Formats: sequence, structure tokens, C-alpha cells
Amino acid sequence: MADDPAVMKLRHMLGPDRARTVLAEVLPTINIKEVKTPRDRLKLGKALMLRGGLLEALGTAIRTQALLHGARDD
Amino acid sequence: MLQLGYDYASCIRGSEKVSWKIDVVMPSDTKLDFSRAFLPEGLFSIQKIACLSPAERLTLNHISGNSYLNLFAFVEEYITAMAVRHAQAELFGDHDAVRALVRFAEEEAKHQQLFWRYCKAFERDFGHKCHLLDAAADVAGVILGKSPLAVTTVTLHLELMTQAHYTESVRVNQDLDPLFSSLLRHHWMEESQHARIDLLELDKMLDGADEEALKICFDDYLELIDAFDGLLMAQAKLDLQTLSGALGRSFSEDDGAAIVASQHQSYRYTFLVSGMMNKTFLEYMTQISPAEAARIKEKAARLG
Repeated sequence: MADDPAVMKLRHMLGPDRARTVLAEVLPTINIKEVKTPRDRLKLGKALMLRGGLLEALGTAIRTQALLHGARDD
Repeated sequence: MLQLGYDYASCIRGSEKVSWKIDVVMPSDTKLDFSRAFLPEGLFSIQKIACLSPAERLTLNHISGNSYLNLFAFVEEYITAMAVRHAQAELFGDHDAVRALVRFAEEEAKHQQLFWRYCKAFERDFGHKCHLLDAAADVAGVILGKSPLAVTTVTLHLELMTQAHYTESVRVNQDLDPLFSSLLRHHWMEESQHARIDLLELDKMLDGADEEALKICFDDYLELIDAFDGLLMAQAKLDLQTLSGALGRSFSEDDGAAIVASQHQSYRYTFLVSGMMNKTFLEYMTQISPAEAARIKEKAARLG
């Protein structure tokens, strides 16, 4: 999961510890154990977008990247 | 997946090296000179239109030149949005990619402003109403609703085609209007970086794309080609309207149809076939899918 582009963005901006904490909080709410596919990234991005501030900006970038890589925004 | 020997940083360096300002390329008070052709006959075959005199053909060449630049401004509406979207996807990650894509978007918006400035000056100095396609934003919305892979593929087609127009037909022709040639030269200088960025973006998106995604990409690409063809037909009809107004004459049904058919065929060749058959474009399409590249060639043959 560490090499996933969405996780890398979180680690890059929040640092490894905070990124891990955010993922531990958010992933259970979207029923994902690990971020692997564009669909997972889309769900993660949308969940982060609800959190405001930097997480919202990160979520928007992650969502856009997921859409460019084939995820469908249903 | 694609064989590319460069990165985003080299695209930024290339972009910085050739960057220009609108006010230098075309000061706002520029007067247009209508004594020479704007477009080469290789792109717009006007000489074969039998119902027009040589002077009338020159007028149609000028009208076509104006429409040609407006069409670029037209498609640049969606390309700017596409580049911004791709830049947003790279935020908080690859800074070189963000810079290259933001420059790409800025340059496309600049090209639009340059071409709009030209079209405004054209109508002022031409002295007659020019009928041009509008609703670029609506068309951009339709294009951006297609698969992102297809949108980038269409963009690559347009960028490579633009370059070929300049290098193969305009640069080598000393008889064309110098201002028009200069606009196309400056456009070409920046577009060459854009094609390189399109390929880097395509390469990223192809990573993990399955057979179904590729099929959707090429189905959408060919659908967009058909949609563009409809727009080009609409512009061909508008050109006849502009020509009729400028010459102060009406055409018989047959002559009008011949002019529209000739204009449509020129637009088709210039914007669609020359892009679909572009050697570099087909090389990359073949790397992605030889079967789909063959489909593109077949479609081009039917349009040509």
C-alpha cells in the first residue's frame, strides 16, 4: 500500500505517522482494508473531501487522479 | 507501456525556452494584409472550386484562415480544462508534472486569446460579418465527458496534427501572409511540448488499463472524430454564408453545395485525416494496440 499514489500523497503532505492515522480513521468508514485500485482511491478521495482543509484538497487531487485512471464516479 | 525517452522536467525546460508573449507576436493594433493567401493550398484546396474567380478564391482562403484559427481556439477550450484536471491530479505528488501541466494549461489559454485577438482584427479589417462556430464550452463539456484516455488521445492527435500543418505545409511556403505564418509558427513552438506531455500523461493512464478500458478509449476517440466532423460541416456552411456576404453575391444551389463540399473536405483532411494518419500518432497508437491503430487507419481512409 505504501507505493500507492494516493497513499504517497498523504505521506508526502502529512508525514508517515499522520498519514497512517488518517488512513486508519478513514478506511473503515468506506469498507476498504487497503488502497489498491482506482476505485479504492476514488472512495478514499471522496471521504477525505468531507473533512475540510488540507485533507479536502488532498481528497480532491486523489479523486481526480482516480477518475483519470478509470474509476467511475457513480 | 510507451517508449518515451524524456520526463516532465525536460518539457518544462523546452517550454521555458520557446515561451512568447501575445503582445509581441500580435500587438493589439495590428492591421491585417489581405493581399496574400493565409492558408496553403495543401491544407485548403480552394483552387479547384470552379464557380469562383481567382479573387473570390483568395477571399475564401482568407475566410478559411480565420475559421481555421477559430477552430483551434474552439478546441483549446476543452484542452485547457483537460490540462488543469491533469495538473490537479498531480497535486501533492510530482511537482515537475504539476509545473509542466500548469504551463500547458496557461499556454493553451494564451493561444485562445491570441486567436480570438486575430479573429477580432480579421472581422474589423475584412469589413464583413464572419460566421464562426461558437458554444465551445458546450462542446468541451461533451468531450470531457468521454473516457479520460480518449480525451488525451484526441488531444495528442490535435497537437501532432498542428505541428505537421506548420512544418509540412506552412514553413516551406514563402508565398503565405507573413503574419499568419508567424502565428502558426509560435503556436507550433509551444504545441510541440504539449504533445510530449500528452504522451507522458497517456503513459501513466495506460498503466493498469485493461482491455475493456482500451476498447472504451478507442470507441470514444472514434465517436469524437465523428462529432468533430459534424462541427466541421457546420463551419463549412458558415464559410459559405461569410463568403456570400463578403462578395455580395448569392450562389446557385449547385455552386453553394460545391463550395460547402469542398470546404468540408478540406476541414476533414486538415483536422481529422491528417491527424489520424500522422506517422508519430500511429506509431504510438500501434504501441498501445495494433488492432485499434488499424481501426483508426480504416476510419481515416473512409473519411479521406
